[in-house]
Amino acid sequence: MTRPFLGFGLGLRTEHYPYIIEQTPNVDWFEILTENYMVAGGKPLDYLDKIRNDYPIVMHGVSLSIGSTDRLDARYLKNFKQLIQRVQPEWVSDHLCWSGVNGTNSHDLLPLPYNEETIAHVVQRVQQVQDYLGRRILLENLSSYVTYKDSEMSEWEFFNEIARRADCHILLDINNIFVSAHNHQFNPVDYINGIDVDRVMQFHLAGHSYNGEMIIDTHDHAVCDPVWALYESALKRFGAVSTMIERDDNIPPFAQLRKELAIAEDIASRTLSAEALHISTTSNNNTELSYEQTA
Amino acid sequence: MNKLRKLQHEFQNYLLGDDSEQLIIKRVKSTPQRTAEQRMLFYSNAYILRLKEALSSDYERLHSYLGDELFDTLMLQYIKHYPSKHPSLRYFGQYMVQLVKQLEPFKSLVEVAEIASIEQAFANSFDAADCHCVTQQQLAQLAPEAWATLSLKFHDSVQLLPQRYNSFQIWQALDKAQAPPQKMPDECTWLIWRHNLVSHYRALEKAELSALITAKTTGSFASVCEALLEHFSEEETPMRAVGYLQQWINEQMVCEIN
Repeated sequence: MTRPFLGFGLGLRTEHYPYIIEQTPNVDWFEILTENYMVAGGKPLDYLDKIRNDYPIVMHGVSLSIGSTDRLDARYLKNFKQLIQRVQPEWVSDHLCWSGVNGTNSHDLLPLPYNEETIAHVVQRVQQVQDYLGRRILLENLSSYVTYKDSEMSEWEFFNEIARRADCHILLDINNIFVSAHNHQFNPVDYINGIDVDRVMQFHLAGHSYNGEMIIDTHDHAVCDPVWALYESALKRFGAVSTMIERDDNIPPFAQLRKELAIAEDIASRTLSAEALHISTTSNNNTELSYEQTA
Repeated sequence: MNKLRKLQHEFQNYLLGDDSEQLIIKRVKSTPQRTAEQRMLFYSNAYILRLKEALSSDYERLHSYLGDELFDTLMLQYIKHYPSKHPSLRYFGQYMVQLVKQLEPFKSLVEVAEIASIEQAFANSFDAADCHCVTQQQLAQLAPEAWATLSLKFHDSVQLLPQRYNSFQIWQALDKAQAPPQKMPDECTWLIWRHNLVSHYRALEKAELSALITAKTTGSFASVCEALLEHFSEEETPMRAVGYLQQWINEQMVCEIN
């Protein structure tokens, strides 16, 4: 598989709009939070259109609720598709989770039990979404704080099986692997080594916080050294993968985040050959994420 | 109900505080690191915290006015009465005015609902649908016979806020981080709208209010003239009506004339 490689990106946050528009800083791409732009008009879409003119964009959602046992939200999907048409993103992603039932949205990314029933349920929903959108989606692994007694396999086995059967891609959050590994006492490298190489399309990096013996995925700190080390392991296994840093709280000036992103670039250039990075970047120009409808 | 749906119901009931038996706890593994109860607490705490953050950000001035303790009580009541039904947190707080009109002690404090409605109106104006606003040139090009049947359509951001108290002055002071004035009766309708992507507001005097209410509800310029006859003489009315229309167009409030 030739994987499209966008390079190194950042999450687009309102605090940085004026800087990005005025300075057009040297960042390869931005990731937007889908729901923030599911509005009728005004500044959010105006800024987005301006920034889209200068940068590739990927869309990252939090409310698809792919694992919910409610019906898929037709209105949400319609708005999602309209936004995709407006933004023309390189790809779109959401989380391997559920957010609510009976029409309620907890606005949290809630974990699923890792078993055959859940796999079958999620797979048919991913296929429905992909058929409706006419494109493959990426699903991201969560940070989680509970393990269900109903779970019958590891998270990475569960994740792979869904990606294979639904024919979707994986957004691998390196920080989430670190957080969940700590909270559930597994080796994060086992997770990395357990994920199918050819499904991974994007990496997330972020900071976290400690709460006693548990780690919480807060996105309010810089990426820490053990997560950078895990990122290096991931690069060794997966090769050049489009990488971005998420920051959602305690947001520093743009220049500071850009410096943090340079650490990712530095690790990638030390870990991967220039050729690998170059080939992947070049391949992006000619690679289409083709999709064949399943139904 | 299949097993997954049952689990999700139990989990959500726990988050919403509707699970007295805490059935979900029995489905979660305890470890030496943390018990199932402690692990689930991360989710219930995060649920409340996230929704409180959304309300605090949407109703910043109301928070200042009520103070931390009372606003916290209000937020908890809101979270209990209005679980989110929308994919985006942007719309989570949209029922605040309804709640404070029903719930004591806020119900007795009329200015609370008025301040909440001001904050809500600004949020609605901020991301209302875009449109190509009518220009003075388009108005000037109207054929003389078109005026008799002229219809108007306003930008979605245009909102009228009738107030019985000096709530707007209270909001303005809070917005500047100043001590708010004492609450006092002060009937006035305020206009909020978006101009060049920025929200604006101004108080309306009676004649313009009457014209604007008529224009927004009927879309008919002839009806606007009729409404203005209550405020001005027959001779003066057409000129006043055109004057208002020109002002609304200058302020980018009108998105269609036919």
